[in-house]
Amino acid sequence: MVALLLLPLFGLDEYWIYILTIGFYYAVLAASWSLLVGYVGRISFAHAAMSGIGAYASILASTVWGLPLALSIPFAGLSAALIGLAIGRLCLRLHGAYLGLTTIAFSEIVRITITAEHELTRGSLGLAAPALFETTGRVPYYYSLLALLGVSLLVMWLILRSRIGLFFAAIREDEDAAASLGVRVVRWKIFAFSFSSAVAGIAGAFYAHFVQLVAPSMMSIQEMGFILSMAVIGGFQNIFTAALGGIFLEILLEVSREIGEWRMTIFGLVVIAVLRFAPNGLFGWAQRLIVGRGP
Amino acid sequence: MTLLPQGPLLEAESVSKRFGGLRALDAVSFTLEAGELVGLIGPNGSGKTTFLNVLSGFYTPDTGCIRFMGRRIDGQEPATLAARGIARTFQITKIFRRITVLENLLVPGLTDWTIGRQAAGEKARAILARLDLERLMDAPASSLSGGQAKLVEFGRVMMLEPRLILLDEPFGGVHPTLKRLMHDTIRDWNAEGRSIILISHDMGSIFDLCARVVALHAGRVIADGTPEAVRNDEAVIRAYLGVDDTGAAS
Repeated sequence: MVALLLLPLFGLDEYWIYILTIGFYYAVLAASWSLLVGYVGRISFAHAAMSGIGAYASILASTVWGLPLALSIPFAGLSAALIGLAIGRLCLRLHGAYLGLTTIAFSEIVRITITAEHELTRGSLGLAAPALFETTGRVPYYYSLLALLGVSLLVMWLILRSRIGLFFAAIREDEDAAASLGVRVVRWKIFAFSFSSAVAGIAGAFYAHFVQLVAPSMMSIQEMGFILSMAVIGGFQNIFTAALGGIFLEILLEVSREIGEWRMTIFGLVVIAVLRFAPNGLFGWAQRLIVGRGP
Repeated sequence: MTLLPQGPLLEAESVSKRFGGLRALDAVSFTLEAGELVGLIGPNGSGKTTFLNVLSGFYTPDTGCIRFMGRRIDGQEPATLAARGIARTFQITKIFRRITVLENLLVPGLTDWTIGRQAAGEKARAILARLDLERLMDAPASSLSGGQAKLVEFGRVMMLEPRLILLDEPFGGVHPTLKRLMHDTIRDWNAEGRSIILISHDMGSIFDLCARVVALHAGRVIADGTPEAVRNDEAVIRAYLGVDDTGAAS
């Protein structure tokens, strides 16, 4: 984190500042997704959709209602949290494949609705977002997204260190045993879903006001695949390794741009290999190698 | 500690539970007084675990009602019943394998938000010492033997300080030394005034620990009395030997 704070001061060029800023966005998404999947043991394919909901909510709140960005961004988090709460109440009693399929269906419904709706969202043309800062320079965005990453990781870490983290572990290990010991299983699953959605929504809002144009494609299944790959390759059983996966894969995507769409095939194969040979992810595996223990 | 309310602690009235065409519980009526330790026996498939699942909120009975300390509890969620004083263990041990032994005990200890982590930790350590598991408290639960895992389940029950404890086959595959410790713990709980329903195929343990035994067969109560009376009951002998009412082996 200290190295990331210092990088722009040592002459990192604008291009790489842009790439790292996007990497921080993905790191927040990968870490918050890993909180749900790695710690609570519930799969969701709606995380990209939640980010998109946050992005559109913040843009519309600022452009249609005239809210300042300082309020529209928290509004984005609240919107995603409330939608997460509703989805959670509807489907978190479902298990495994049913829950996964429901979140895919939800994600597609949101994407298609925004694509088809032109008046408010301009459909697939995309919606222009007001900039977060007046300057055209990228450094303020770099530090904003880095701060968002730091704060998100800190809040998630505090939650996971608290009794709630213990309840999450109990739910992941055995729901029946957890319930028999007084853990409100459905309540905490909904909380985790709603909270991780809120984080994704806020990240989506920051992203929107950084790139200043969002389109429904940010909610596509392919985008969700990126987030999943980042968390899995980094190590989705730990929020920090998942976040590292987000930054790492964004850089890798950029440096492998020359091989075109083949890079997606290669990343798919890497995800399979990591799941098979390093289920704690590359960074979890590296940590185990270096210090003898890992997530 | 005063744990003895007025009247029966638990009353089940004509409780039935069906799974498709299978009638797992057929109008089971059962009363448990405060401070009683009752053995629940019966051949495989007789409905013992289903009855425990109904009492602990995992199944809602199709008909009948259950009262605990005078209040209806059928249909309430397991977590609610745990908070109201009903704790249980499972036939197939359900410990949280990827967290430590101490954390396993902290889970129930911290469900009460008025209790801080330090207080819960002290209580958990005292319980682990009582169960001779203190040296393993920082070990991952996955490293425990089957018997030790059963003891962790006992420890988690103790963290809840329940009025009613439901034990489902706690002695299966347990080393005799640990089994003795389990017997002592169950006796201690009972001496503290806690009521216990104990399911076991280990008849030695049942007859050693329980002053009252209830036998189930095909979802019905077929005997209820002292261990001696139940052991010699014709219907119980027939159920265990697999002999039907006409005397033919089934």
